[in-house]
Amino acid sequence: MATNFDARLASYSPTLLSIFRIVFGLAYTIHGSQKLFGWPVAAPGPIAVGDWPMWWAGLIEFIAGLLITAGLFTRIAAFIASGEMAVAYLWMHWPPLEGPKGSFWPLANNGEPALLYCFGFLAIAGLGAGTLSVDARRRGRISAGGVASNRIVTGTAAPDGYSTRQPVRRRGLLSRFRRPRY
Amino acid sequence: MTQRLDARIDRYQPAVLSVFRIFFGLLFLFEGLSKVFNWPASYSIPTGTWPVWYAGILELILGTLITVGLFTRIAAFVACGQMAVAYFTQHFGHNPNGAPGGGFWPVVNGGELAVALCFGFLLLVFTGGGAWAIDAIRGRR
Repeated sequence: MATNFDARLASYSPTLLSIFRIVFGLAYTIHGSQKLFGWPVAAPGPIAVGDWPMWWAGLIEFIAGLLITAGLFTRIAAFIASGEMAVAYLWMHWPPLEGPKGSFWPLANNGEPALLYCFGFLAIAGLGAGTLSVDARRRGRISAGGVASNRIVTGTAAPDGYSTRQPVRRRGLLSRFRRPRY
Repeated sequence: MTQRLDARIDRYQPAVLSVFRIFFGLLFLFEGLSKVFNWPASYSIPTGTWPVWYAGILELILGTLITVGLFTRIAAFVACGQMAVAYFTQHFGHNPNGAPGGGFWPVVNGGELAVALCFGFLLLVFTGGGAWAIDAIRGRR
């Protein structure tokens, strides 16, 4: 039973990966726009254009955040974002690099969000963008039956309606988000 | 180029997933430890305080399960729900900085952590624990 349940949940994982990516990307973009434009709420301290390192951090966050949210060049953008957050943790929250010493523990030095973003973006860089992303669109649309349009499938491997372009009967309300199994 | 990069990185997906799971699980576990045992950070919450102490107990148990990867999907589902409740009851609408409209934004109301953990665990519900998890060992048997 558990295996069956696992398989059913796993078939939605590319979509959930995209939802996760969009939420993390949006939150990151907001951090950037907060530093660059003071929107939606002003940053805790004043940041002038070109200030090192805060304004530049905001620039990276804004651009990488937008790319991650849209899912364009996701892996590269997420890798850069992850690196920026690692630097932020090692420099601003628990500085072995420079600055006044803080606690090692993220719970005591306010570095928790930085660490979560660091590992969240590392996961996105490793797992990819998922179904709902520009990257997935660019790679060719997945047509009925789950075959990319630039792929030729023949014989018994060809899913229903692939050659005839007949509409394929869907299995369940959310079947379009499920990974095809064949 | 990008496609080859994708294909190369895709092979490491189960490992990446496990690193991600262990990290989010550990952080959750530390949150629980700080609430219940005042370590590593001291939150000084009297035993039995509703809801924070009970949240700590939940975080302790779920954090351990997620970190070792035992019943990952179920534990992550409960943890995800707990974080959603935490966001809406403890953070949403609170505005410590007094910025206009600040209570809505996670950046201001202190709920960023809760949102990030909530969606991180939601992902784990659907992906499972990855390569290095007790679930994976049990499944192989």
